[in-house]
Amino acid sequence: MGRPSLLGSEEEVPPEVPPPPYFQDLLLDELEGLFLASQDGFGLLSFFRNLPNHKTAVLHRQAVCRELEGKASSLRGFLRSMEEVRGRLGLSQKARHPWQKALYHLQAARAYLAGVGALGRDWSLLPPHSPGLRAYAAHLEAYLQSPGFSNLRREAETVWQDLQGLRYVLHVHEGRLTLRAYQGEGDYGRRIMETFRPFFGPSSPTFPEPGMEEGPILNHIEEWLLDHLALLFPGPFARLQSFFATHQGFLDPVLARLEREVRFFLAYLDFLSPLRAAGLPFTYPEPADTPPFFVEGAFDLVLAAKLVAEGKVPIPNDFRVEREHILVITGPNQGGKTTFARMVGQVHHLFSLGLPVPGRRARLLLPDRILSHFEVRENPEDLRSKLESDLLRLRDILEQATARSLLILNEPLASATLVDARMIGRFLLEKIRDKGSLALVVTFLDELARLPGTRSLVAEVDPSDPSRRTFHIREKPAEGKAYALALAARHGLTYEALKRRLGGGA
Amino acid sequence: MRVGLLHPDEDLSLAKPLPYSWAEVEHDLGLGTVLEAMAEGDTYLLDVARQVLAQGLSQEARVIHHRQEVLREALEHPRLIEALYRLAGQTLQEKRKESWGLFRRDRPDLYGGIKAMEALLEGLRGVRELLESAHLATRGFRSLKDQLAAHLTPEFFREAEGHLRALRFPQGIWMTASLGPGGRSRDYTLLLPKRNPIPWPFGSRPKAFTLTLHPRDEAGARILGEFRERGVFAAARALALAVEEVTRFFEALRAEVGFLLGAIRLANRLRALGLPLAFPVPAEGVRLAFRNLYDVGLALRQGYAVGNHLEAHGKNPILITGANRGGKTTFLRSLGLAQIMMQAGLFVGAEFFESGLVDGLFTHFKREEDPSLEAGRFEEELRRLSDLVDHLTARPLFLFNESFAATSEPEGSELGAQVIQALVERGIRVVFVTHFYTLAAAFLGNAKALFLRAERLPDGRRTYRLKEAPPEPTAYGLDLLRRIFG
Repeated sequence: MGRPSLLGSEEEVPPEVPPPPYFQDLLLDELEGLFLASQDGFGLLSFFRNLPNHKTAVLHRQAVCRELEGKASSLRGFLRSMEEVRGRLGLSQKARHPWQKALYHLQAARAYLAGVGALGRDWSLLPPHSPGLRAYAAHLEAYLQSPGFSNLRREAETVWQDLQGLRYVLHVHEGRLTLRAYQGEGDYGRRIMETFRPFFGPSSPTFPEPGMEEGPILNHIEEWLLDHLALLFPGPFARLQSFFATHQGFLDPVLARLEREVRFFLAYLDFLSPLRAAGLPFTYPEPADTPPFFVEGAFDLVLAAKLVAEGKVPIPNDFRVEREHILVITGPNQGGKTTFARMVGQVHHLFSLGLPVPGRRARLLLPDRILSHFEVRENPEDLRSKLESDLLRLRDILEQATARSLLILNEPLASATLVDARMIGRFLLEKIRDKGSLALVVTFLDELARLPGTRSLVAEVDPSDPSRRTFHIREKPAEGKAYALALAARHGLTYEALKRRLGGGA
Repeated sequence: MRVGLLHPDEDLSLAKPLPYSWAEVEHDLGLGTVLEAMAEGDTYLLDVARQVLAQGLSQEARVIHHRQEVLREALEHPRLIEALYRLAGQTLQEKRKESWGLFRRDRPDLYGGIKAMEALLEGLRGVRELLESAHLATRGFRSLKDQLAAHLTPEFFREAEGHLRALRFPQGIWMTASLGPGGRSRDYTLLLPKRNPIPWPFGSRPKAFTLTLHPRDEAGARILGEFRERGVFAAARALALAVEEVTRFFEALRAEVGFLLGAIRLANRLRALGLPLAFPVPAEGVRLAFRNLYDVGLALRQGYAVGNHLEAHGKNPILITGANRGGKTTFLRSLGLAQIMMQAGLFVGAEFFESGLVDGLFTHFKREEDPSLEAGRFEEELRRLSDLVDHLTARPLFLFNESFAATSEPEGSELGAQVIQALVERGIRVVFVTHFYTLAAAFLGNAKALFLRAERLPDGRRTYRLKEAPPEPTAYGLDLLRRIFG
């Protein structure tokens, strides 16, 4: 790769795109909000929405991400400096007064010099080893030695040294402000302190300066003062003027790209860190073309974030594909089926981005696309038209699907009658089998789990109390409705319960 | 400037947090009576007495000696102490009135500062005069007196009053500043207000620029006002700090002489009852000996008290058994109170008292007002104890009164013995009152253990004295029965 990149993709920046259709189903829209919310204005959403779809890019990113997990403190410092640079450049833009514009610009340049300098020092002591970061380190080394950069550094420092060394005297009295150079008069505040020194301890107390207004807009007195300071001290101000004129675009575009890319990875890793602290595992899946594909001990990342914030942890589950490419999940409502389906989808999406995924160990197919269909619980409406639109969506999905696609279908036939559902279900599964796609189907139809080419998973209930769900999804034959009666009893819907509720009589 | 009456090298601070579970200690030892005798209804003094006693738990022997010396002298000058206490209180009140309490560090009010300082200077004069009027010999009083004489000279007052005049700035304000990163000035420093600019020795005068506001430029006038504020800020700040420091001096003075005043009051009360007082001997390690040690709180409440004698150097744990209502709790309290009073530099209620210094005092007393539920009570006891164990200091004194009584004797004894053993091995001094014979007997083979028993005369009467004696496997409930039902 010619140009340094952490993404390992050829394009400069992934294109800005709306969220892919499966984002809402898999809660990936929520996830991107969760970890990119604080990173507005860097276009990082497009990093999260565009999958590179080739193994080399995934491996390239995994290497970068692993390294960033290990030590990112110098890069974090770099990001902080860049934020400061942009903040000050923004102030320079906003400021109206030319001297103030120039001053903010100078401060931005100083923050930039400090930031890239520090990163260069850190990297020369501890060079990065992932190819992605290594390429940037080489670029930075060359950049720091370039004459342009040295000039920038030298000028910024001398200009600011001169300016901040200026001392002047202000006299305020009855509507007049007088400005002149300082001639070494004594500090009266200190004199007062001296008088009362016996009362102070061995060290004089210190006190913070009062909070100064730091807006970019000067009032007319402040402007007058700045203009006249320039008259009082013409040399330093002339040097400031020339610095401003010569160094307008001092930001190196390659380093700006590094910043954006690092932000993406760190935002994700930072989002994981409280989850890791709560004991949840994350892993870098091994890309594979042939089964087995699996994840051990995975969980829904969005749900996990919510649970950990409440001091709880999610129930981990395994996902495994061997001969059969279609997993059919049955079991009680609220038993974790939808969560499991989302988890599998999320894990594949995150893996495709080269990020660590929830789970202890994983080996996954890199899907060419992720296609999902989740039942939308809308208000009761004309079921026929709902079924129709469902089928249209399913047809689209099947048309797009290839042998390398991941399909996640959650109760795709909820709008069909039982008879229709059986018929359509068989048909759908046969289609998917012919395509050879990897598919996960959540359904209330046990019999679909007995079709050839499928593997059956069941959302478990506690054997000692069928009304208690464990949120474990286990591989086992789909069974009858052992839990259904218990559930009904709990809701007061068994025969006896209904008799009691409705009163004896008759 | 330091007051230094209670401590050779720091002033008393009333802002320190009380030790963990101090409220329990105060309640269990009946310390409230002692504090009230010192305060005589003055809530501020009550607070001071409480703080000094509580802080005593982290005191070194040299501080205690220093304080004992000062207190001995204070006991000879009760009128001076009272006058100093009153003057400090009045000065602080005057200062508060003058500054309207408008003392904020972020925007010190210069005028308020001037008025407050005037009140404080007045108070300083008064303190100096009072101290000059008495003959004082101890280190604490001498060094306070000498400090005041050295610093509060006529020049000091002249200079301070000069500042208070100059700070009204009849000629406007001069200040220096430097350029900040965003084009505004910063590092404002106030300069001496002067009529004449400094003569310039190099021919032509340096450049100066003047901006004169248009009379109708109200915004400009406001901004100049802010500039003025900035410059004044430094001075107002310096003055505010000086006011704060002098105020702090008066607060420390008020607190320290307040404590001495409380001690004088307490001594007077106990002397009036004809009870002995002694300045105790603070020692190091596991040392304990006393003659005629009585419960000061009980003496104040009922007008008399029974004393005990003991020599228990090197003994730990101390286990106390014996007759119900035989004075066991009273003894435990007398020991705890004496330890606290000693560490605070006070006299104690005894003819002689010596004890090793500790860095904390913990009490685990049976709670009378517990809910009747036995199981809940035992659980509460355990929770409370475990909580204390979480907060133990390095070498505390731990007083137990009938702990684990909420459970059966075999279990309570087994648990109690395990607790004591563990604490003692960690070097914690334990005094444990129990009516479980089995608990005390568990330590009979331990050469370091000391056993005290509430005395009972052959006819069943109690003397309320404790004597050194091993536990007896007898129930004294019979006594009670006999006394109550004849």
